[in-house]
Amino acid sequence: MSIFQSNKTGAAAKARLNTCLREDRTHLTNRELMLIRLDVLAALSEYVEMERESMKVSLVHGGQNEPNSLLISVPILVRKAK
Amino acid sequence: MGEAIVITSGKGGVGKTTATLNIGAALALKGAHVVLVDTDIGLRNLDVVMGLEEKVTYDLIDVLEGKCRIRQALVDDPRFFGRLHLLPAAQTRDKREIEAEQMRSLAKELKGMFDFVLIDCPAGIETGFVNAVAGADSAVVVTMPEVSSVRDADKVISILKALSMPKPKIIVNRLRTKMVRRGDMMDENDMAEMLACELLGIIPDDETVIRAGNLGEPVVRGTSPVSLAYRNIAERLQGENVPLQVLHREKFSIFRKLKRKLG
Repeated sequence: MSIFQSNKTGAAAKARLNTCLREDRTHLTNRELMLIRLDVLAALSEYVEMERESMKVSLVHGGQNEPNSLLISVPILVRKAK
Repeated sequence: MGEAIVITSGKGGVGKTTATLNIGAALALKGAHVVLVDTDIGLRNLDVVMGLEEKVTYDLIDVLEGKCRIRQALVDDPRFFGRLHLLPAAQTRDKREIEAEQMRSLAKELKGMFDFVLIDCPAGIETGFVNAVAGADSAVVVTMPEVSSVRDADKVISILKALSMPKPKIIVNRLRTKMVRRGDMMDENDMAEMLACELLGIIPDDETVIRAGNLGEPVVRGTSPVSLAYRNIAERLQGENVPLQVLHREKFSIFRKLKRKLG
């Protein structure tokens, strides 16, 4: 660890804000989000191998007349053999 | 016909009233005729921030109840040669005594008298907010680089959307440039991206604002970055294409370069 290293709180604020906005905009609680995450992983694991730990869930704000989108991304390693 | 703009935020204490005064003052300096309407019934502040508290005779509710004419209630700010006026809020009444329809008619009348009607909205999203927004053509949301402040701004933006208002623009107030530079504060672009709104301006945190507030004066006549920021906002509201100030560009430093190499 560097002697200059410090905790950058701006990034933490951004991450916490993202969680708050996601809950406010979608009314999805953290528990529900975790369940969605598990369901999506279960569904995808039928077909592909994934980096499960790298799965990211984020909310994309829609425009004036567009709905918000829940963006789920997970790195795919290889297609599963049938 | 003028334009009515509500200055709102959701959260209290983010600088709505100071922003209302300084945007209005900057517009007046540019030659526009401006009226500032304090709609924070029961918590009148705009007169104090302007240094006009001793000149208030009638208030917003007196006008709405027909106890006086609009012109009688307007307080002229003598520092702006008849171009900046205040319509004060009532201090001893309740915000539930007025209705949205009354505010709509008042705003319409004021738009016939002034180029800009700036409505200082109370904190919160209840009756006072609904009344303040009712007469406005558009909204400006003031926020600060803090989680709670941006969250409340987002809530207000969603309510404005539900009320079919045009998408508001945002002002990021009290940005601490040094903290942004060292990664300890969200920057204006982070906030604009999360709120999905266009930035109208960035106001740096500056003691000048506190000193001016103590004296009951606007800051727009000075040479500080805050003064420039408000003047730029006024120009943008008048449709001019003024680039945003770059407040936190990293300065060249051998020490910082060394730190990056080592760390």
